[in-house]
Amino acid sequence: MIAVFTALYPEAEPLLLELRRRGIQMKRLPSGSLTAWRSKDDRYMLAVTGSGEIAAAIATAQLLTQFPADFAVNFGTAAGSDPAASCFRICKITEETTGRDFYPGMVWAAPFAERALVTVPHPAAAPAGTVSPSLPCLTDMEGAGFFQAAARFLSTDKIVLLKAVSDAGETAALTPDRLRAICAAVAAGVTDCLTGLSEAVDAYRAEEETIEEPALMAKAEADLNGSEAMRLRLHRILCWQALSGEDLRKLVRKLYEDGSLPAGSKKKGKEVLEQLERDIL
Amino acid sequence: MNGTFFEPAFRYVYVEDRAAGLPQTRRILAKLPQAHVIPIRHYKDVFNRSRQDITAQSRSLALILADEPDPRVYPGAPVCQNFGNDAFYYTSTVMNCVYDCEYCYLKGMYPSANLVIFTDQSRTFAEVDRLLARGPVYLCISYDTDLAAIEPLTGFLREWYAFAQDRPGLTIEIRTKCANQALLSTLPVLSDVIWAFTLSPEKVAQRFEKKAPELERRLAAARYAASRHIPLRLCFDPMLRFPGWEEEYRKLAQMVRDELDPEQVRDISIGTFRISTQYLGQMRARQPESPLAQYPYTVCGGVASYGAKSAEMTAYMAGLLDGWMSRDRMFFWNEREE
Repeated sequence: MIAVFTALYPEAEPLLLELRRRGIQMKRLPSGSLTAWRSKDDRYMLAVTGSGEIAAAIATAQLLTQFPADFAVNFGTAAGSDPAASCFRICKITEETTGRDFYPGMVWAAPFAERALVTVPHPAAAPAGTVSPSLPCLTDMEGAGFFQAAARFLSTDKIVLLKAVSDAGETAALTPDRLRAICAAVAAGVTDCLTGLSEAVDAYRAEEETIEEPALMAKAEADLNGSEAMRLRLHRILCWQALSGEDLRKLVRKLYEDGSLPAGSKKKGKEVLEQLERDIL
Repeated sequence: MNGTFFEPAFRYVYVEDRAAGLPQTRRILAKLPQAHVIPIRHYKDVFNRSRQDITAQSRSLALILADEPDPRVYPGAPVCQNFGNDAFYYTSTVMNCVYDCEYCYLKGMYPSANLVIFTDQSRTFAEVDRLLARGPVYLCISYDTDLAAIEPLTGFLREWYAFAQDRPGLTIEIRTKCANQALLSTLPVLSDVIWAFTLSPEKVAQRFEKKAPELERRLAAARYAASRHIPLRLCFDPMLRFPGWEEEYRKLAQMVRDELDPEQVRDISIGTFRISTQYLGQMRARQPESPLAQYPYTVCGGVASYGAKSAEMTAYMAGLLDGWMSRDRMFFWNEREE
């Protein structure tokens, strides 16, 4: 599941509309302390956190506790000197109040240029400038809080921040309609990115080799009648066999057919284990 | 998995503030014009982040360019072969490897798959000079990486050759799976700089060394090195145990016997897979689907290995090479050396 977090409803609404336009039905979660929607196929979740670092961190932690996600994405507006309604991927976050830096992983492809982000505790009166000549900065109020909370649940390589430029520090001009319009302008691109992440999750899962017959293994391990160390050793032998492409079902069936399992005692279980190691390792 | 899900390798280069001004850093960056540079305070801020996804990172390596105030020369570890040398050291001017070998201890040793390059080698050279003042030094410079594989980017091997050529008493080993014959053709030949090619059966190379050159190309590179009289070592290390391992290693030995003249090979190294239990624990957690990580190893003295089977495996491999190379030029790692 891709969990998306925005600070304000006007930032979330264009994404909701874009997802719906693409046939993805987002259903509002039962009312509670969190305003959130979940797609019927469980691929996407969208939550409104409220503005500020603490609100973002609390909502992120709350949602990820309830709903384990494959990716956490923070989407929203930020101040910057780039043209309004241009969207960027954040490669470095600086928390202004502490001076700490955070680095989201940049492993997954995203169709946006990169910017650094400075998270400040108050609306920015001016853009933050640049980290280096090649890396201009944006300013927001949530990024660092979101990242720190999400990193408790997910690999830092599965945390993505996307920011659309709303203004160059003229906060008075930022109305809900203005934010909505800016986010609507980038919603299609952001949704493409979310779809790409969701497809990557599918492909990743399909590629993972899984050990078949977990119930069969569990039964054999229990029937060994041994210590936890013996059970773990048998588990590793069976895992290695399965992952090496050997026929696990055949091997376990043979153990039952020749009377090795169930082992009547711990001593017998130890003998079975030793024989198995001699035979196949 | 479709590569388009991932950013291309070295699309992002993190550069430490103190490394940014170094000419070596600028030289590397000039070779990566498409890269996006992200300034960082210290390489550990990125490399040592908690909860990194090493599997995903290995599909899209980032580069970290750093500067280390301390020399990166260390005494050789007990699990490493010293080839009869007492003053056995290794350097670690690059951390991690572009090849993604499933059994590699680096997967258990580092919290990240990203590549760290300490761009200025001068302090390391100075430390080696201090060691040489005490006596001969045997130095492995390509342990925690494959320097040959990234030579076009770093130029480090050329720096080592320049350093080594007027330092009697210094013997260097370059351990590699790289098959870049063009590189071998342009480096000088020094009698104390040994190229050590790691050779694995084709089946192992295909399954467990996915990003490394295939066996045939490695053998061709070794043959080319031999033709240039480059001191050559063949490493059958780590030998892996899997269903049908005997036949696969028999085929490997036969290929080596067919393709290389033993008189052009300085020595060979034979050793079975072994790893510290701490690293193995990390590998198992990070690669739950890996048969190599999940094998029920025998643990002794903090090292996981095939136990008594190690001796059987090394003896088998040595037997396959008997008559082609004399035993006095074969070096073994086994449990007794631990």
